[in-house]
Amino acid sequence: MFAFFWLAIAWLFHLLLWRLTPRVHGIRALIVVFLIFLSAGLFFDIHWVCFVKSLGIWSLLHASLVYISGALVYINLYSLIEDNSPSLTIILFTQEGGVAGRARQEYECVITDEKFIRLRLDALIQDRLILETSGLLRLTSKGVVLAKLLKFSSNILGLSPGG
Amino acid sequence: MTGHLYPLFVLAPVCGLLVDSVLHVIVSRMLRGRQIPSLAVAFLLGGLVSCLLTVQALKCSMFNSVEYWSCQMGNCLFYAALGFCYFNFVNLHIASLRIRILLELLSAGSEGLDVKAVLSKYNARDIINRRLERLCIGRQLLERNQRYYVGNRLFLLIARCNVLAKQLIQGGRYRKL
Repeated sequence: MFAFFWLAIAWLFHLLLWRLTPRVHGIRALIVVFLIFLSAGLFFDIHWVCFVKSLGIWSLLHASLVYISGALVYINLYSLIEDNSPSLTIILFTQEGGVAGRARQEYECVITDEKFIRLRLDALIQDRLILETSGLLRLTSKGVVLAKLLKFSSNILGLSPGG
Repeated sequence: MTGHLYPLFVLAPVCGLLVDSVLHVIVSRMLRGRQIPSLAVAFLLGGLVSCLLTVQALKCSMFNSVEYWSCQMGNCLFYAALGFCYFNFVNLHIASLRIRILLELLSAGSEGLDVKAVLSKYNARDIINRRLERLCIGRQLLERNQRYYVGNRLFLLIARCNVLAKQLIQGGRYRKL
């Protein structure tokens, strides 16, 4: 219960922060907010409230794991909310077509290179995972590490990239 | 909850997740890369393991039935949260354009890739075709006489919830595409 309560407080803080400071957004900022609240919650409990601490170290671990799993669920959902998913955009656009439905060409006005492809490339550049110089895209050292990790996990999971 | 079986109670969902991920790898190879059925089977079996370990952990507890079932439901939710995260982790590898671009750039090495070549390969038309095909296979969309209609209403509900969530979080900054 302590973990759910603390997670709810962190979520409300995130909501308030996002509304008050429009420049603060993104997955990284969200992770920082949840980590700060996790650390603060553990510190607060260990030193003052002793609610969870009194039940032993396993209770602290339990509360932390529940908090982390809840935070990860929200972070996953947030990535859907922050980015515009092509699939969800297609579904909503099709619904708006009503009984007449939609022809394939009609989707080209909602799924454009500017709104989806260029935006994602710019996000990779902003995150310093790739560099664009003289019309060429290259991975940064940070991008190489991430790409190798992703390749490794793709091989383990037996997945091929879709896109 | 205290007692010598409390660590088992705490770790039951984590063990379930381990079983989920290992089984997913095995089953997806057996099913020749079909991800949704293998994820579903692995999730259910991982959940079963988590439940059985929770039952074992609660065996010697002095809980009444309300407390017992609350603990069970709590651990089920905990496992479901972990399973959802794993599902999204796998789905990212399949559906994410950014990951695909990163992997292509890794293959290209220090030579890199021309921006125009990337934009012509990963263009909106290509995304539309792939997604329409995938949505038709999953019956989220239906195709009749070369026109598309909404199929499975669940996905439409998810799309509408997504819009509501954008409006809640982004507020005035939200702009419909």
